[in-house]
Amino acid sequence: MKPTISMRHNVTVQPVSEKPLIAAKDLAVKKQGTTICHVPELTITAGERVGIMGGNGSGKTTLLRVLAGLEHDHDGICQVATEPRERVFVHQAPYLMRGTVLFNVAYGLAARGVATAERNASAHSWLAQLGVDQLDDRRIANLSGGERRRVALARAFCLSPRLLLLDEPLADLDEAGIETVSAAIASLENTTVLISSPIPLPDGLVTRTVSIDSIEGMPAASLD
Amino acid sequence: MDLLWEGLIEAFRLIGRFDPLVMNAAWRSLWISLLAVSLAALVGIAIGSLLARCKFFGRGALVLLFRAGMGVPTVLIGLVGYALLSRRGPLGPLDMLYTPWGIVAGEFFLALPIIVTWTHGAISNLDPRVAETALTLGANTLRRWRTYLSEVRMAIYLALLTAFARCFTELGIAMMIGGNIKYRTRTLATATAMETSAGEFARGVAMSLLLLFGAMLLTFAIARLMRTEEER
Amino acid sequence: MISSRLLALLFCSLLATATLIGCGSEGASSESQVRGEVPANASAASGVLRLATTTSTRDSGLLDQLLPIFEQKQNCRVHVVAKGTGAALKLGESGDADVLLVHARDAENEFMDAGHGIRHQEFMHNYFAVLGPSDDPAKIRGTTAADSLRKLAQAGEHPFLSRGDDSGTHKRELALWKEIGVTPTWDEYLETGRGMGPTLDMADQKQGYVLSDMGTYLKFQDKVDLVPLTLKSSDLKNPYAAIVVNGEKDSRINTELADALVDFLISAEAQRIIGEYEISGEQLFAPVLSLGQP
Repeated sequence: MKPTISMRHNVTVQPVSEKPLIAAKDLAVKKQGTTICHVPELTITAGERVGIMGGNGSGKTTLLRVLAGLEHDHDGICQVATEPRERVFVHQAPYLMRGTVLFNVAYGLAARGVATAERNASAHSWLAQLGVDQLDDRRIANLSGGERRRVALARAFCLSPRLLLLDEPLADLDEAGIETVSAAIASLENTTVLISSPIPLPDGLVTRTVSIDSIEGMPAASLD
Repeated sequence: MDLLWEGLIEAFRLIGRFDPLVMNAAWRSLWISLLAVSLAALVGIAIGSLLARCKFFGRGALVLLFRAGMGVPTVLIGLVGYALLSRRGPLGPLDMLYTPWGIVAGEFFLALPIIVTWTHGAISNLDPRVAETALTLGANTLRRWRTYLSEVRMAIYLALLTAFARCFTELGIAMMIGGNIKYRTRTLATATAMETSAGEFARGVAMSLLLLFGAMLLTFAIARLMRTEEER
Repeated sequence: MISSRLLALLFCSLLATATLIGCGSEGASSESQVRGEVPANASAASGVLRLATTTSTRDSGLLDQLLPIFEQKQNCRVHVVAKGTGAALKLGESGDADVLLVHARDAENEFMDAGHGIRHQEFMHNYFAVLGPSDDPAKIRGTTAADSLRKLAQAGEHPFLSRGDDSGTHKRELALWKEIGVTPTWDEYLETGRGMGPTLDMADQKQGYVLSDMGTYLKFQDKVDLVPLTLKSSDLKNPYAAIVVNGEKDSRINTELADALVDFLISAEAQRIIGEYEISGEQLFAPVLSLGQP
């Protein structure tokens, strides 16, 4: 089924399953009364990896936050067919809790009642996969930008969420880092929606892209 | 100035020979304040967190009330406490007047507004990403609250320290509700007042210096704790 | 909405005004009220008499009757500082008071022997009494002070509130214990370290026993459920004396006015006022001049 999006897309769509994971129609996202992002239609099915592109201020982050369930002020329909716990969002500037790296990465698993040994093992393995295993008992205070990013991503990935929403996952990373993270994302067998604006996306990271243009008349630098 | 010098020397003399009356009063000041602050912490952190994160009618007024409560004079608390706990008062049957437990109760209300206000302030000003991160990682309500408190722990330590210093050195409540009874409700503060009133100025200065030392000691200890926390 | 700048301006000007007022001529006396003393140079220069006395004397209200008359006669002002007996005597010792009104004969004798005072004049007396709850569980009603204390010590279970502060009342209590050769050690023997009024209140709250001067008791009679239980006896007599502080200590000491006050206190007029002073219909003090019985 060809997705009915009136935007540009540049990758052939893979065969999809029946019921869409995300279905949005006439979605107008508002902040303090002003519409900052308008999506006539967006359908994402399970298994896709979708990249959201757009210029500064085009409302990409806001759209992602709506999908994450963090923004409720919108007109139109936005249906996400997952349980809240199956859906994980990572901020553009991720917040790490006070404590060690390991504590952070295992946080979500602890919240799900996973036993200590098991969740620490899982956290370790994801830290390793993202190339930052050596950091596990470091306090979060002195990490570099790239290290913080990878820790935050590990924290999200080890929950194996059905739907993963990533805001600028490749920012602050060097070339090797980009490769590692992209490989990790690709290895997840789930649905991922990510934003990655200026950086040209590595091949194979996403299965298709979606572009959001600013609404006519809106200045480019608006709330994003 | 001689008075202060004499007082300083007397203070060292009193500590040096472990003067039993002074040690007794010091210990009493200590455990009463610690208990009062601990109880106020249990209640106050909860109230402060609730005020910060739950919207309800009258919330703003409550916040203002607790904020104003930080400036209540101890004699006022002492007077009200006395009136309530007096033999003829509504809480007379509790028999808490002129007991250390009465002082604990009074100091509880001294410490509470401080802890509530600081906790509320700290949690209200938490980075919104904290809540969002916890939420999207699947933390339930209890875990989220534990996370918020963990994130603001510095502010809470400061609040507890401030509350303790206030309780440890206060006079109004200990005097009016406690009564300065030797070996029973005499605190360092009431002992100071008594010595001064009886003309024993050097001893009075000595006691108040001990009060100061005690408060400073704990302040430094907590500051040290906070600094090591920060660095990690 | 008032702008925050305006508010800040308002606050600063309020602060400045308060500071100016505080530093003005009022400043000296308000500071002295805090310290409880008049600035050192006040006495000799103008007509100000610094009087140190005990809290019970002040609380009795007698001075409010006597001092205005004296002030008018001498065209002066009397600044009264009320503390414990010990503190009052210390003020005399350090020359921070011109005249003392106290009631602790042993301590007074020590004071005079040490040369701190140049004139000692008894001018009135009253009695102490052991007060207690009206149902008198220790059954001391109608006994002498010595007997009542002995009974209380033997029972060892009733609350007894002691001043514990070296005051005149406390010294008398200690003298009584010494007289019967008993050291009070039972659990409910409580030393308050506070003034007579608060100590009475504590005795009332605990429904216990207490040694008090009748002056303070009569003043607080309505507020406490306590009654005098012991008989008037010589060991409960409480003589009040006026002491003129030795002017050689310090040029600031106003011996002239101090002497005048003592003369006034034993004058017929003052003695009459003392004898007629009542609280709730009861005479509080007995004058020394025989205008009636002593």
